[in-house]
Amino acid sequence: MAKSIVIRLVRMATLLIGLSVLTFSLIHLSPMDPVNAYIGGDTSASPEQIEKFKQYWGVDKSPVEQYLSWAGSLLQGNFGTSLLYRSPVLDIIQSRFLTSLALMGAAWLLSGAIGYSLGVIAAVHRGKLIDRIIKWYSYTLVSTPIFWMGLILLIVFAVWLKWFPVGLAVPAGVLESEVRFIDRVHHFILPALTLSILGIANVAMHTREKMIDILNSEYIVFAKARGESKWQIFKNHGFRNSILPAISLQFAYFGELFGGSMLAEQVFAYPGLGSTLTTAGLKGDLPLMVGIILVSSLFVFAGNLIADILNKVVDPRMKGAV
Amino acid sequence: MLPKERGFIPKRALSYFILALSAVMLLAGCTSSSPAKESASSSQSPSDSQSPNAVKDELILAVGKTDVGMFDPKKGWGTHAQIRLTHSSLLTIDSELNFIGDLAKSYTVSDDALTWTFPLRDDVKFSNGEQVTAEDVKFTYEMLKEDGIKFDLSFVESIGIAEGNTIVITLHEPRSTFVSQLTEIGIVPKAHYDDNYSQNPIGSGPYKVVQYNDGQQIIMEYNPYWYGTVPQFKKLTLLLLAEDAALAAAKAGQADIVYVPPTFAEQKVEGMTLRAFESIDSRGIMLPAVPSGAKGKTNDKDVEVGNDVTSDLAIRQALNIGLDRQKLLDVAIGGYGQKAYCLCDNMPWFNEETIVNDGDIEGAKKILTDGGWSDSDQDGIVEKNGRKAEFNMFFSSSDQLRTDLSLAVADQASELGIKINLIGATWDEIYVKGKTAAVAWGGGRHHPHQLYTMNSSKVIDTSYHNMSNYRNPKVDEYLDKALTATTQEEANKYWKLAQWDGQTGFSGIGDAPIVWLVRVDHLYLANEKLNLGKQPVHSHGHEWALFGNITEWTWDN
Repeated sequence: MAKSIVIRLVRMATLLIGLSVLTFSLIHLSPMDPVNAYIGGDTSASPEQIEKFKQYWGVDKSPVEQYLSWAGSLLQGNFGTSLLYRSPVLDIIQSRFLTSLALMGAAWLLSGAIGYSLGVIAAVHRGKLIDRIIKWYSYTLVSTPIFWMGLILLIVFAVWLKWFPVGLAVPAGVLESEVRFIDRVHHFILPALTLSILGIANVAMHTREKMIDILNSEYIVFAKARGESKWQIFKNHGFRNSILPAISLQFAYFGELFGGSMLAEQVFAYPGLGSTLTTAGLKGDLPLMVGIILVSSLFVFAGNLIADILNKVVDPRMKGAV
Repeated sequence: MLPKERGFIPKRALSYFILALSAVMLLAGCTSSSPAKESASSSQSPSDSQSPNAVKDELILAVGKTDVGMFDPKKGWGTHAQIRLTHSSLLTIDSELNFIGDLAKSYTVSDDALTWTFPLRDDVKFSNGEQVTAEDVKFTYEMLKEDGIKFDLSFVESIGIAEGNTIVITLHEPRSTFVSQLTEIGIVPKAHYDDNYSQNPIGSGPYKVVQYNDGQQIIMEYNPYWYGTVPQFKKLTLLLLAEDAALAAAKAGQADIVYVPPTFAEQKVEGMTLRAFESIDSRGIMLPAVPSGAKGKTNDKDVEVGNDVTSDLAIRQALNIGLDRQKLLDVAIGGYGQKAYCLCDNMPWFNEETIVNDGDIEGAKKILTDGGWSDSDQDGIVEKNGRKAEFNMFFSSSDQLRTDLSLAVADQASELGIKINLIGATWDEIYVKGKTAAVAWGGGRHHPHQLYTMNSSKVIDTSYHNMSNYRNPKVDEYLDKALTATTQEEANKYWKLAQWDGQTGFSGIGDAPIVWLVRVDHLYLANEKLNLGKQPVHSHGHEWALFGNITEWTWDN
């Protein structure tokens, strides 16, 4: 186990290097201009001043030199300075990541729990009305774009019913010190719900398939013959066998979760990492963009790593395999 | 025994896991119902929850991404008239667009226009209670001159302090547009200004920033040290929402006033009315004035320059009189706008001779025929020397208005026999390729300096000034004279001549490097009880144009 983790860490390092090189080259090939990002649209800057800037930010050097100096300072823990916000990239990422993490974490737990339960219910009642409803629901959800779902929820719950605010993470016009926890939760529910809906269908359908396989197996027939009830069968045989695909999926789903949070945050004007990445990308803020990409890939990688480790913990049969 | 033991622990752990999950879900379920009830009363409308006789003193506004520049003049706070809420400046403009004193009691300009003198008011204090001194003014101007990125003060020689709390600014050369910069530069306190000023912005405007949630909202409260008229509204909350989220906020009753683009203008929201304000915010088509093959720079990047079709004067002039501006207004912006013929329609420096009888297809065709363009192969597109009148036109694809306008322009141009191929792109891409093709362009300020930056050949290859690479010695001469004029009257005379002097000019009837088409009304949905006072003609930037007269706003019960 220790060995496989070391191998994975090495893989992660190479992944990050490769990713940063790729990001750098893609940005270099795009028409994005970091000097534009810093000095902004309406400017009276003279060519001499722009030249000074290029020197200051080091963008007058060749792309390879730029990359090496960036990587060098990164190794010392310096992610650089955001051109747009004009403050250290790491500070920005830290403040945004917490917001996003709460959002993604809640959505992740909700979608996992609901998805798994729905899958099991559907499998146990295979072919009956409830199974058909769950299947129909899952197919509909899986083909629904998340931002559209977000807009629908927004219109129904915020505009028509007025149960929830239309956006932002805190109430309008309330000072930071007076924002109550309940206010934050209130603002948090719609985006979290939007995001969790995305994951439910996947988990539910995979769990259903796995559960059906299990229910058709010989040991279940034997258990039935012994007179175990449905609940006993699920508890003693079904649960551990069927949770595995759900866990792998759910951890491997970190990537999609992150992509989804970007859209959900846009729809609800929720200031997380995703919406910041969109801004950084659209406005050409290179250091911030690369920083967020690295952090998020670390996040996705960690998800996959955890999935692998958990698989082994839950299923002793997989211990031998790398 | 061992296998059983091993199986037991994870199972128990998992059951705890499930328990925790259900607790989370339960919690989510509970909280979703309790604040809902609470918000049903508080979010009805910010107005309804108060008793009818109470004076409403808070406003919630969603008028766009209002945090550009983050309260720091060095970062561009003031370039779009942002400062009126948070800072004071030496001068300001009234609703008739006259320059009047703000921090300065009055101002005088010497006969050679090189020395500007500003006696300052003695009763102005920053929001922290400290006096605004001549030192602070001097510091602000010197800091911005040194920086030079957002405000070009390179023509300023020195900023001095004279007897009796007076500021004296001397210039290298006369600069008639300096007067508008005097209204845009917000004074910052010398003692408290540093790189973190955005986090702690202290100014001397009617409001002070009490909280800025980046990407979410700005909360401002009345500055008790404010020296002007006391505004009715003591607290402003500016929500940083995109247009569709802002409309949703209006519909949910969570904002008192929101900006709406023309496509949303027909939306009905209970208790709110549409307010349309005429603006100088103009849109047109930038057309390269030189043939292809040249090299140049945009924002210091090497770019290709020139277009063989648009460099033909007949094409540009034909578009100017052939396009039907009223139809463009109706199709692209639902009629919420005015026709535009120059960048400065109805401003004191506007030359009214440049107004043409537009939508004149016959006239346009005649200009094309006289220019050697004719449709000899009967395919609906005119040719000259074997070259078809066909060119690309870029528009910012994230800008709905420019997108719609571009589609309408291309449609109308085809009736003239000119084929326009539309390309939606990002601004970064447009800046790189824009000098070889037409671009859906915009601008419009309360001052004439853009006339210079868009048309003078002296600024070719700097920033994204004069994208057409337009060069006319006569126009250059007028623009220079206007810029260095010693009085506003003299400056306006030359600004007008630069547009059209009877022979030539940069306007549509002259060389038409940019064919201006429409001015966009700024539209807001506002609570029917909110009175926005007498608004001046708005300048470019709907986010801030409203706030010039904030102290006049009232809530009429």
